[in-house]
Amino acid sequence: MNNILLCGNPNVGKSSIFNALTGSNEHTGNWTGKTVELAKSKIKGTKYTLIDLPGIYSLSSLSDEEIVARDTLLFSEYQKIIYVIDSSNLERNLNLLIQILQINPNVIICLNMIDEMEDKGICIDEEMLSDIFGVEVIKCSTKNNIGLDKLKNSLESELKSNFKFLYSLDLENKIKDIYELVDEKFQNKFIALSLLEKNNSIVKTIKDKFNIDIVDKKISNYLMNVNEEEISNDIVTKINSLSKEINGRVFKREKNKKISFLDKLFTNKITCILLMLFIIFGIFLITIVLANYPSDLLSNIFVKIENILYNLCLNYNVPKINYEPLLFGVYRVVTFIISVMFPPLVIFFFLFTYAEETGILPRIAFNFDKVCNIAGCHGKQALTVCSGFGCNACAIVGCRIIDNKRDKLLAILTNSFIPCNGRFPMLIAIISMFFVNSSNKLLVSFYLTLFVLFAILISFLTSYILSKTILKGKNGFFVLELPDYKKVKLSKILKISFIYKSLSILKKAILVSIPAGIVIYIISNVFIGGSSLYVILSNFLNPFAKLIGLDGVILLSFILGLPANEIVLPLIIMGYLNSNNVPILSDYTSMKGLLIQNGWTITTAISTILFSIMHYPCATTLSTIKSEVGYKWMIYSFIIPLITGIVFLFILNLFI
Amino acid sequence: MNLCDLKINDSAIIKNINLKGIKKRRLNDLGFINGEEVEKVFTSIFKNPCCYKIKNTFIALRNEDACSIEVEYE
Repeated sequence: MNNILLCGNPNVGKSSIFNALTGSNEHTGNWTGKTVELAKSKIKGTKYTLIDLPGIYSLSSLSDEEIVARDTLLFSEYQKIIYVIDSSNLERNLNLLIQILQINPNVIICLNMIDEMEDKGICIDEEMLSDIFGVEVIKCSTKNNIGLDKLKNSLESELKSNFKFLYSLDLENKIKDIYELVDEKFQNKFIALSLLEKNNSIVKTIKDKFNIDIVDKKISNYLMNVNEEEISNDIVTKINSLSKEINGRVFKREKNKKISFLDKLFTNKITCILLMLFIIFGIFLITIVLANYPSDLLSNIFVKIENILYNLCLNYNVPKINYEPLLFGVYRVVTFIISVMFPPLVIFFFLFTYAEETGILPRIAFNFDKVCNIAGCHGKQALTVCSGFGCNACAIVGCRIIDNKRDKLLAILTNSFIPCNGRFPMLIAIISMFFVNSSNKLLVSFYLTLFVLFAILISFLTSYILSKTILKGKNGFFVLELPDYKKVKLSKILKISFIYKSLSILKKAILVSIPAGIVIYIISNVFIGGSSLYVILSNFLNPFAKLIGLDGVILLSFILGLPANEIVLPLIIMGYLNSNNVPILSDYTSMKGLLIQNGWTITTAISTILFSIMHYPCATTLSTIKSEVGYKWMIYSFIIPLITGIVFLFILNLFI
Repeated sequence: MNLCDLKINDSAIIKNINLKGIKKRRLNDLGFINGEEVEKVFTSIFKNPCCYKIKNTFIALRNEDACSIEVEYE
């Protein structure tokens, strides 16, 4: 009963208020629809638990978020609602407030982001607002810690809204009629209106929750003569005119919203495309250059620790059979993944989170919706493609921002074509060895950008084909708010990108790579008839692998690399060295010598890069897909890129 | 005329929304309601979708949908 609900439109700073009140660190972003699951946490210094509802525009458009929010508001037990308003956007925010007051009058209004108001030349008469609704109105800013204590104290207040308004006489009579027909516990204005609008989703919720079919014979007879479009119009017009009137009384604006300079850049064809290419190229360059140092450092440290552990084992006479699988199998694989993957991951997510927080991401969806539309998918797929560069598994979770089931599946099934951070190190290594003759970072970034553009092309091409075959159907509705650009604190971005994104991905990767380390050790140390299982398997795969420009060792490495793409390259090297342990990688020159000795040509290099782009997603991504959309689509997401890759490489190798 | 025919920086009043059900409701929620003033502020790089200013917020709509919204100059 000590629950407090946090409600509001999308992008009004709800999650920031949540974090400030609870001290937790739910991720916030400057775009619509971040919260899809309900976050719960205790409010610091109180007995209350705060529940963060998804940001929504109304309670009646029937998206998944709205249904979750509506059902929680209607049927869960809670003490109060904190309604968060973006102060610069009062009028539209009032619509939802009025709808919510029909459900429950226990509301506190939180005027958020008031520090940005002055910049925008806005003034809100909060006393008047408080009088109109009969509730407490508190001005807040999480950035400058304004009003948060006041908000906490107000949770104890007994104040209930006395705000009343009437719809047209006809509609009010209909509401009364409905009250007479339904059970007492459903005599609620919001439920009555939903029934009159013939909203089936509320009927379903009541059936699931109370096992009651609220639309019995009497009601369905009554509803026969109701025109739901008229009722809807009546409700929308009434609530809109109310918000308009209230807004007119309390809201003063001196300046009108202007198109910002950045929007001018982003909506001009030439500057936008240049800017986008520059950003992609720049991100790769920065990642390649910067990630090298911490990667080297980490890997040196891990090697030193390995030596210490090895000596300890020798000194204490630990049997070989015990320490070898752990040290040369698990330890090497795990530490390799950490040192290769972690630094670029942090850098990438730092840049990505920056774009997310400032509001650049919705502009990307806006600009590339046309392209997505041609490929049969939703504009927001441009965003999930972007986050795929960091981690495909994260991008799959991110696909939740796409409402329409079909559009979401398109985004999920085609995401693994986008090379993630786990694959970049291998791409960069092969490019550095076979495409560029020196360690020219600019040229490496250039080639990498070309391959990435190819990956994006293949991803959208596959979307197009899928949208014409197994995912035929109508495109979802594209409507997207473009929020104002925001200034963001670097420390905040660093915290989000480091702790909440990179570390959690790393944790997952380590968990899957531990069993992989053991399997790899076993395969390379079990001998049958004089040769190791590894050699036998790679010889077996060799004829087929040759058809697609690879060889048995490369293909086997990709298969063993299912848990994490990072280990594919070290596995290849291990195969060529004919060693029984995962090697510690040395410099590119000696690696290149080894590869050429084993028959690598530029064709092998290209084929390996392309196969890395077009094969099945890693285990983490697969399990994420399973939990998001189920087994069936997980299997599709495994097969589609794999077949694409095999067919593409087979044809390519016929000609070169 | 329809919303998609509006020129950049022109504003007009919404007369009617020729859509039904959820699409219409969602547009209503974002402020596209009869009698509201709407302005076309910029287009995306491929000219579709376009961005409109309504209730002082920027909302992007595909041209196909904007063509279902009737508007009239003041």
